[in-house]
Amino acid sequence: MRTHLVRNFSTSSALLGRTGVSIVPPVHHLIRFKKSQLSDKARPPKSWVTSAGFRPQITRHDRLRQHYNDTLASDLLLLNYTHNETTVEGARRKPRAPVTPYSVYQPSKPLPQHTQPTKDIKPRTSENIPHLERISINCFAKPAIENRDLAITAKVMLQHITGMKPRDVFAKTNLPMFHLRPGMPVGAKVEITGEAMSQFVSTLTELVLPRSRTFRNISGKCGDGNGNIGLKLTKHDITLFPELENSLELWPETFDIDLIVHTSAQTDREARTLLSGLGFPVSSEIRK
Amino acid sequence: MVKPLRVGLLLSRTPIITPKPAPFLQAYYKYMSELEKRLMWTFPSFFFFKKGTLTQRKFNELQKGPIARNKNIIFAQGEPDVHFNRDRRFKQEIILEPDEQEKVREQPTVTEADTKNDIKSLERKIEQTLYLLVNLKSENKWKLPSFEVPDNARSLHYAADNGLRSLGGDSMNTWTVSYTPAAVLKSKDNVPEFLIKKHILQGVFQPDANVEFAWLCKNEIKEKVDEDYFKQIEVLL
Repeated sequence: MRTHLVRNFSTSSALLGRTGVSIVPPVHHLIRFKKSQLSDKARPPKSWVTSAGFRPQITRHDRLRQHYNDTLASDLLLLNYTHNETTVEGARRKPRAPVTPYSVYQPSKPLPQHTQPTKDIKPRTSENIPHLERISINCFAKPAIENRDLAITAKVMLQHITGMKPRDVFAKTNLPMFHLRPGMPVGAKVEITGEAMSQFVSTLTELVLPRSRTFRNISGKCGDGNGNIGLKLTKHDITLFPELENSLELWPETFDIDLIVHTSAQTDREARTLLSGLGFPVSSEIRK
Repeated sequence: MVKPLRVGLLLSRTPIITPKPAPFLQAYYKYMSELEKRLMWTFPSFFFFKKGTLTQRKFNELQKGPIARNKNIIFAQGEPDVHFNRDRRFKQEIILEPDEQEKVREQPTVTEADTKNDIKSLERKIEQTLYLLVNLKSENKWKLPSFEVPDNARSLHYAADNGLRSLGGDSMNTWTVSYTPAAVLKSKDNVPEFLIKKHILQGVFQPDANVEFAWLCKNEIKEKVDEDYFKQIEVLL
């Protein structure tokens, strides 16, 4: 009689009562498979527990989300609300008017010089309250040009402070005067969402930024026009993350990082208001 | 003749701590976090504790090692899959020094005001949003604070602020969320009442003797106020 078996996530054959692979030499490939099973389509998505890349997404109560739902969302709706608002059309190429049989085949009217196309600004409702979408973190480790091992240090540093696995960044350009060649590892980058993002934001606003000597505030003028805010942390700020703070002697070097906080806000001002509500220090000087 | 107006106040105290999730949700979180720990990478102790150091020795002494794999033994419940001193079939349990663990202590979420049922205290129900309700002795009716807007008022939120100071004194710090009113309440005398939303940040509400007041959460407000009145303000709470 077979007793309760502990499941191996690397192989589930044991559960079915068979060895799965041959353990008696000579070992041959005894697992039968169809070639179609190896294609990307046959692989289960990462959200399935049977997938090798599965990772639970919701594992604890999200404090930041709770604060957003309890207090911030209704406040932001009221703050941004304007009575009898209509859609404000963004700058974009428009067809020539009046429409004549001739103008139909003409190229659309170009935008004035030095203006970028922008999105429409829709009336604020309870459906489009600004919220945090994701944070992308980019670390360009300049010393990695001289010592390529430091690119790994940058990668591990990002992994420590975010809890997610970063990706390598390679140089694209050839700059002989900086000894930079295409393909050299020069840093790391990572995009965080969900729980990891909430954890990162609360660590940043509660433990790192209040103790930072270099970080002043988020400028009241910053933003890319689409509701995304960028900020920089210096290599000294990084050492204030509790993940690094307790083992500082292990880090020969830390690096500056660039953060971009992506929000669903329609304007930069709304995005700054959201960040202020989440606990980021935002300057009071105002620009739309 | 200026049309008469009234301005009301939705003065709230936001939650001080994160509320505890429901028992079902707690069980869900526990299951998912245990699953996450099961699937987690092995803790790289070689990175944090350098070989041959005293800290490494102290750390290793505390850990309970896994059962080693032995070819001469038949493991009825599956063979150990040991890698970097961890059995990969199970979650890794890392034991730290006992003093380090004792540093985190859960504090009670029930405050002194809760045990005494002191509805005038701002330190009650710290997991929920509280709203200010007043009862003027002349009217004998619980409702949100509301004031007549004087003819020479500069704006609604100024009138609301002045009304609040005249009613509850100057010893509190409040923040007006927006100059836009949050709602308009209908009344029997056809005078519209515009609600201005505010948060109390600091201080206390100290009215005269002829005004009763209470800091209440949504469920408690339902019991205190009229049914028609609650229907109007329900969506705001």
